[in-house]
Amino acid sequence: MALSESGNEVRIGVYICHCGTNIAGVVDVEAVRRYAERLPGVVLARTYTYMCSEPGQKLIKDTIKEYKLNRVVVAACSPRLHEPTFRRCVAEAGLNPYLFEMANIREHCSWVHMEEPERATEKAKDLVRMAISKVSQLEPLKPMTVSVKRDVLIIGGGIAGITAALDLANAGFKVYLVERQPSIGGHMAQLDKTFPTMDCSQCILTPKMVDVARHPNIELITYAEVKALEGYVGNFKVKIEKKPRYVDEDKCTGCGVCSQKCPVKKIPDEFNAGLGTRSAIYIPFPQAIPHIAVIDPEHCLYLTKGKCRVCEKFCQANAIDFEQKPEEIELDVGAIIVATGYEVYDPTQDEEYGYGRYEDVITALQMERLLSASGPTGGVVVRPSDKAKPKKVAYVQCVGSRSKRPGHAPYCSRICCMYAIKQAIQLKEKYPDIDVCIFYIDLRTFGRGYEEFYWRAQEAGVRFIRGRVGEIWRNREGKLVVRAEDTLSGRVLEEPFDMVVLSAGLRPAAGTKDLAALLKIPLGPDGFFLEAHPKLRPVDTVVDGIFVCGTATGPKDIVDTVAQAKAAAAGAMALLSRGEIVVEPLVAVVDEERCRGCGRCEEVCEFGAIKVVEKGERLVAEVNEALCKGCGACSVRCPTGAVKVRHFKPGQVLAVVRAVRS
Amino acid sequence: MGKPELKAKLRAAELAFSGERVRWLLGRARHIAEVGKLKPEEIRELLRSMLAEELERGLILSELKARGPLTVPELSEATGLPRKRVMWHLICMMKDGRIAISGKKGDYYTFSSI
Amino acid sequence: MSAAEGKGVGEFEPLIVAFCCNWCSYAGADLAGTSRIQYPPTVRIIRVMCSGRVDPIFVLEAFLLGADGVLLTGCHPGDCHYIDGNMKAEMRARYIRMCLEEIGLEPERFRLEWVSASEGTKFAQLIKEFTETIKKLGPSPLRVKGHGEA
Repeated sequence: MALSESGNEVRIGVYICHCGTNIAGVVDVEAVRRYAERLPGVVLARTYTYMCSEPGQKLIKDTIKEYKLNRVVVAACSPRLHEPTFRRCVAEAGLNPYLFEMANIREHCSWVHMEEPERATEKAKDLVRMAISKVSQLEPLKPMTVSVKRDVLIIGGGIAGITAALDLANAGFKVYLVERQPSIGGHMAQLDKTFPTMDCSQCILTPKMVDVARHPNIELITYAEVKALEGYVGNFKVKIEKKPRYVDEDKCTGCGVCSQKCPVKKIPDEFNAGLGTRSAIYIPFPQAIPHIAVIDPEHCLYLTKGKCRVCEKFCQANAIDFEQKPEEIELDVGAIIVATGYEVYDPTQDEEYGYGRYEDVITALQMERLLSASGPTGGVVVRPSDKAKPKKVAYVQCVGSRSKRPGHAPYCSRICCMYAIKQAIQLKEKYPDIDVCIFYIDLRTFGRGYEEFYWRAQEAGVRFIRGRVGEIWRNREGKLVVRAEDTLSGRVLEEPFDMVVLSAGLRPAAGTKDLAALLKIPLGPDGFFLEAHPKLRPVDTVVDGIFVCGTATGPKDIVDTVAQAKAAAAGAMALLSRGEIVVEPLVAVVDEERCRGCGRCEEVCEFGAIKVVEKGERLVAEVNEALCKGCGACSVRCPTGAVKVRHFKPGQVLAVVRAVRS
Repeated sequence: MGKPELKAKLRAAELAFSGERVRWLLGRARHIAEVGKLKPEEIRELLRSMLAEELERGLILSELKARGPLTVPELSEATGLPRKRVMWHLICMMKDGRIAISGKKGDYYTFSSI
Repeated sequence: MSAAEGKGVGEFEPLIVAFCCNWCSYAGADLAGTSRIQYPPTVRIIRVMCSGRVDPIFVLEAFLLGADGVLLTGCHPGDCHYIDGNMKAEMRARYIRMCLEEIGLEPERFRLEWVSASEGTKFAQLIKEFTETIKKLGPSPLRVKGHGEA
């Protein structure tokens, strides 16, 4: 008679799956069944063609009841696939779902030893014996319920953050939308038109921005960043630091007089991608939300030199406040959505293109501002150098992308082909005689309506030349000569243009690394946030309760960004809707009698889940079960063996090790 | 090396790795290197000598666990360690509560594991 | 590897115990299976949640039980689901090797490897290589009877 850790008799049922011929075609499942039957503690061993199917599960449930089994082993596929399935099945038969173990005789056996059926069968017997040994040592566990806060924090106020915020707010959840810039809107606010419909970007974005500002369930916190995070799913404590605008948000009416009167004027304007200028006190752009001025402390005469204060004199609302200090805000939220967006690659290091050397070599984002009616030139496209209208414009694709050069990224930035085609069409519509030539390597027009959009560009007379641009230089007439390979004709061409637009790729937004460290979520090798699974869980992260969406996980267009934002909002809603969540109980547990309170466990825990506290007159370690991830680091550190991880206690793991050899 | 000898050494190693000293040092080695400004070879030497000591202590503990209270000469014979070294190990282990004097056998004290 | 290999008279079939972490290396082994990449049936995988869970005692026990080789596999540095459990495993691996040297067991019988969830080929390759290494080292001095005999 086999005994469990607590000394009670174990009655084990072993179920071996044929999995059609996936297992049975290699492993002699009947031999494994006969072998398992004779092992100590095993009451019965059965086989079936598909154990996870209805009849298979019924077999398990019926035999549990009939033979009064108190442990179950299923030898089949990987537990990563069907452990939840069988745990549920076993629970339905009245047995604690944690008194269950699987032996992986498919992915780890029959599928990888197809040429050696005898040895595979012996291995299957070993694996079943190991699972039986482990299951004998398992204890019944109860999943824990943890209450959750129904508030959500969204980091990033671009189209992704705005979309998620509105969905959540409309569903009745309280949303805190934190944005680093003084206004929400992100990059979409800088766009003139969006492909392929040529919708005016501001026209579709601004109403949403206004909705966010007005929504009773959304609290907008701008010019602020997340500084610290503590807690666990359903119960996060976040520290936000709000930078001082030196303008009182409640008093400012957004009239803009301060900006007109400010003597410091020629500051390169971030919203216009450096092509326009602003004053030291400014409203970021005409449709900015909140529509409130902000003072740039690096350029303000008063804040740097103690002079001026003209804005204060002219402000009719008395909103200027030079004494403003950074504000620390603490929030308690149940879920977090990361929507921090992207930044555009800076092609200055690519000397062959002349960006930074020649004023008339610009990025596509800068061209976007030139095309925009609210841009620095009122929507008139002119050369930055002499303000002349360009007659010939060249586009260079894949700048900084699809390349192994240091500083370049290997991935395709996904939207550059489309935005180049869009801008080319716009130039042709504004200036029918303009010659636009796009130098490309491949044209990626993958989405709905995208290929047709490309045809439209061709019909409009946009030229497409397939070939890499090797060099751009300025000739004596002041033209920018583009030397490129024309692969279709097999020639190298050199053509003078008036302007060159670089289709620069996308990079993770500045500060992504720091935010990832703060939130304890991993980044992919490309530097963007890593989703929990690239196919099946595109908006989850490995940390429960933290979601991620939009270009924060990689380049994508607006439609995919919005879809992901909605998915993240839905994920947060699903998590928080019931007011409580169920957490797996595979966490650390402290035997207080053995614990000495030495604190080594507390030192090593990455999650702050185990701390030494006073209990009565002793110091003992205490586990916060909702924070504990069950990694076991504390258990290996513990000098007395007081801390153990449920389901993977040293005794339980050692039982498996000892069963490797019969 | 013979099988029983290797087995005894592995068991001793398990005892060493269950012991406080090894477990503590495993986790703190990096910190010690920084604070003590030790070079990597110095750290390795420190760990190696500590591990060697703990392995010898593990051997002694294994013997006591298997055979009950023993005297210093008996332990010296069983483990192959010189008597002086056995004595030193026993004293250290008494200090951290792993060993205690349990009685007498002739002229010698016997020690047992706790 | 064909059925004929490893069954010659006098040749022994190594027994390798591998500790695999649930999120990376165990998933990598699963992927090797899904991709039907064949490798020798010498390994017995023990699933843990994190490579950092593996106490050196588990490794020593495996050798005590007669394992010819022990593998400790985990996530690549920076990818650990529990932040740096794998880094803790790396520290311990060094001391385990040191310990094996002190005891007089070849430290090559113990190996630490990083295998990610997408590296099915790498996992299979690892088993193939390690099996060869162990074959060259010979059976563990603690072997009782032939492997696989019930």
